[in-house]
Parts: sequence; C-alpha cells; structure tokens
Amino acid sequence: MTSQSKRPPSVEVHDVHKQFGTVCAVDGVTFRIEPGEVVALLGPNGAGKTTTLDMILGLTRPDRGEIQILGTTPRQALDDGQVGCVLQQGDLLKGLRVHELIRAVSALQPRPAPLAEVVKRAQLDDLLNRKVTKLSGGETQRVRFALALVGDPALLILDEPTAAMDVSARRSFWDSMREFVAADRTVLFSTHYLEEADAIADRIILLAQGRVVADGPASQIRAVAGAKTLRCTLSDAQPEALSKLPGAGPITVHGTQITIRSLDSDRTLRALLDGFPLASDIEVTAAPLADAVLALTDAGSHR
Amino acid sequence: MMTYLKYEVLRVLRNGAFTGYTVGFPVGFYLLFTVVFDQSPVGGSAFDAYYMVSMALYGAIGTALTGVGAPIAMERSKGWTRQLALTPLRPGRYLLIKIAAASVLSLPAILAILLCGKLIHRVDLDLGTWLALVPALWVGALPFVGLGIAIGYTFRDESAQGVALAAYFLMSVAGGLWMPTVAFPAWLAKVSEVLPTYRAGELSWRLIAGESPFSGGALILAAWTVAFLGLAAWRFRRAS
Repeated sequence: MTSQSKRPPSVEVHDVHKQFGTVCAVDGVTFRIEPGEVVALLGPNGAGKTTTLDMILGLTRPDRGEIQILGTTPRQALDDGQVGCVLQQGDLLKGLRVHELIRAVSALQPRPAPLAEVVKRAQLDDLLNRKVTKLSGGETQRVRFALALVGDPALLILDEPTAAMDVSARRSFWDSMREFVAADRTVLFSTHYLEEADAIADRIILLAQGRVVADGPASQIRAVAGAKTLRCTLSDAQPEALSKLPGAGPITVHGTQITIRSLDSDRTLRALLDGFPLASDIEVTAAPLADAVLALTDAGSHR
Repeated sequence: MMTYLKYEVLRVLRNGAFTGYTVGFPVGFYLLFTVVFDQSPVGGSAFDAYYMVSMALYGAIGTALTGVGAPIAMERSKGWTRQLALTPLRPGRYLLIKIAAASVLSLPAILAILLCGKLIHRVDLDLGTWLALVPALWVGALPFVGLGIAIGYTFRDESAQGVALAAYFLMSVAGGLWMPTVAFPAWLAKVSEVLPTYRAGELSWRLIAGESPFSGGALILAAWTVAFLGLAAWRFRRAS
C-alpha cells in the first residue's frame, strides 16, 4: 500500500428504499460520491431528498439497500468526527451564547477543529457573545454551519442549508462554502433551486418521486433540467403540428394561448418562427423545477 | 463531555424559573414552617432538623424532575436531540450527563437549605453527618432523575412539564416531604411507606437521628431507582 492508495468513496448509496406508511419516499436510489466532489441533490419538494440524507446520516434506517460513508457505517463515521451536517430544521440549545454552544459541541469531537478556524469559516466573529435565542434566521444557520465544522469533517452534508436565508445571506453562505471545498473536502447538499445547484456543485443528482432521474455534471443536468416555457398567441393552432417542433415537450392549448414546454428553447423557438409565422406575443421563461423534472421524466418515457 | 456538562449546568442555572422552583420554594417552605409555626419533634429529631432534610430533598427532586428531566421534551421537539445524534456523543453518555447535571444542579437547593438550618435554627449535627447528608440526598433524588428523563421522552413540551410538576407535588405531599407522615391518617401513612419520596427522605431522616441511613426501606428505594432508570432507558430507546 502506498500513500497514494485509493480512498474509499465518501458516500456510497446502493439500491436504497424507504417507505412511510403507504408513501414510498425513496424508491431504489443508487449513487456514489468520490472524495473532493461537490454534489447537489436536486429535486422538487417531496422528491425524497431529506429522507435520502437522513438515511445517509443514519437518522433513518432504510427498509432495503446499503449505505456506506467514508468506507464505514454512518454511525462510525459520525463517531470519528468525519461527517459534519446542517439539518433543515431544529433550534439551537437555548440559554447559551454562541461561543458557549460551539465550545460545548466541539468538546464532544475526537479531533476538534481550532475554534478560531471554525469561527472564521462560519463568519461568526461579531456574533460570538450573542445569545442563541437572539439570532436571525441567517445567523442561526451560520451557527449551525459552525456546529457542522467543529469536528473538522472530511464530508459535509447540508439539507437545504439556505432555505431560511435572504439573497445576500445566501451568497455569503456559499462564498464561505467554496472556501471549505477548496480544502479538498466533499460536500453533498440538497436544494430545490436549479440555479443554486448549478452555481455551487460540480455534479447534480436529480431526484423525483424517490428515484434518481438524472445524474451528471452540473452543465449537463442544467441542459436537461433547465426546461423553458414558451408562450405565444396563435389562432388555428394544431397541437399535433406544434408537437413536431424540435425539443418540444408537452403542449397546452387554451383558446389562442399556446404553451410549449421545451428542453431546447432556442431550437424550438426558431422552428416556431419559421413554421408558424403568425405566432405573436412570444415569451420564453424558465420553467419551475417541478415542471422541468416532469418534462424530463416525460421525455424519458416517450423516447 | 465535561465541557458539555459545564454548559448544560450553566444554561439551566440561567433560567430564573428553575432557581425559583428548586431553591426559592423549598427555602420559603422551610422558613414558613419552622420560623412562623412551632412544631413538635418528629421521630426523635428536632423539627427544624427534620424539616431541613425534607425540604433539601424536595429541592433536589424538583431539580431532577422539572429542571433536568422534563426540559428534555423541549430539546426533542426543537430538534436539538437530532443535532446531538449527529455528534460522537453516545446515548448512554447523554443520559450520564443528564444525571450528573441533576446532581450538580441540586447542590444550590441542598446547600441553601442546610445553611438555613445551620445559621437560622442552629441545627446541631456532627461534621460527619453534615457531610453524609449531601450524598444521601443525591442518592434519594436519583430515581427522580430517571422518572424525569422518562417523562421528557414520553410527553411533549408543556405537557411534559405539567406531568413532571404533578408527579413532583403529589409524591412530595404523599411521601411526607411537605409535612411529616406522623400527621397523616393511617391509610395515607400506609401509602407513603411504598413511595420513593418517603423512602428517599428516610435515608436522611435516619442520618440526622444518628442511625445508619440504610434500613429495609432502602431496598424499596433501590427498587424504585432501578424501575425508574429502567423506564427512562426504555422510553429513551423508543424515542431514538
């Protein structure tokens, strides 16, 4: 064995299933994340993102399938302080100041990171003496980020970390995250914003209805999930003819109002202008992620 | 783990309601019943001394139930126990921290009441007895740490605090901590004899009467301790 020997995958999820009552939350998910990757788990609400992350963290036991973190069980990896996480919800322990809370949790770690480094990364310098009950949503999230960093983890897991943040808090949060990633660490985060996934992650795993519907480099997923909606006014429209437009997905006709969902809006638009010169009031907008996923799964099943 | 314990203790101490319940009330009761009213000796001990240990235990039990046990319900519903589950802290150690916190946090109540007894009523005990009272009171409060944890893992938020308070008052009154069981009707005195509150008090009442703290009653207390700690472990496992 040399020091260059291959490191185990940071996360390995194999054919994992989880059912809650009659609801199938996760239905056979498989993926592998190598050390140093920054991966977004993207999907609309209810796609199974949180359940998947909970199972990776050992908070929820899968009905079927196997999960390994850094070559071991989730519990062992957590005990070794190798995994830091920011959960989607949860209050901090009240009655403490920020620095006290960080010290308390840091003391539970086998190899705690230096406090100063944690504070710098989470940008908490001016909040250290604040009571945890007196923090805004974005500030609370920064403290929770700090709590995820106290063990000096190799893998960071974030469940919709920016959900409670405004735009500027969101930007500074991801700025500090990029710094963390630069130190060759692995990050897996969930989000339902395609732009966020695209801007931060190298790779996107797209989940819908408990399944992986796409997995690949961020640019590739943006191309397939970044569906656009074309709207125009056109009398005497024939849906059959419109559906032959290149890239066109599902089409809805509402009187003279036509809506075309497209995975390649540029091509669709050109063909539309050529083939239907009477089309007017043309508008192209980004489809919501839920629609994009729908288009993607439809396109997949029609092919 | 010691650091976490330190902050755990600190944050409970900062809660004014906690200090009121566990130090203020017992001290107030003690002064009310020993200064204002004149009482006859109980079981060979001066009432001042007898009631001193009753109220010290009352404070220690209050700490265990309402200061440490029931607030666990809050930690659970607010997601803090989930956060802790993602640290290397093992569940057994978490429970140990809670038990240790209850011991440390019951010290203010115990010391305040013993000081009142010593300074105001000149309660006269030899040094060994004074020193033995603290561990005796801790041992007496231990089953209630278990009960408190079980309540914290069974009920939610305010209802956990309500259940803890109800158990606290009922068992304290019926166990003879508020007034000695010699004043009870015979049937109630019979009930007291099986209660952990009475058997916990017995340890210290025997100490100040110059007897060994351990009698047959200590077995009943031991049984309650095992039962409540077992209940706590069971509820804890169910919840996690």
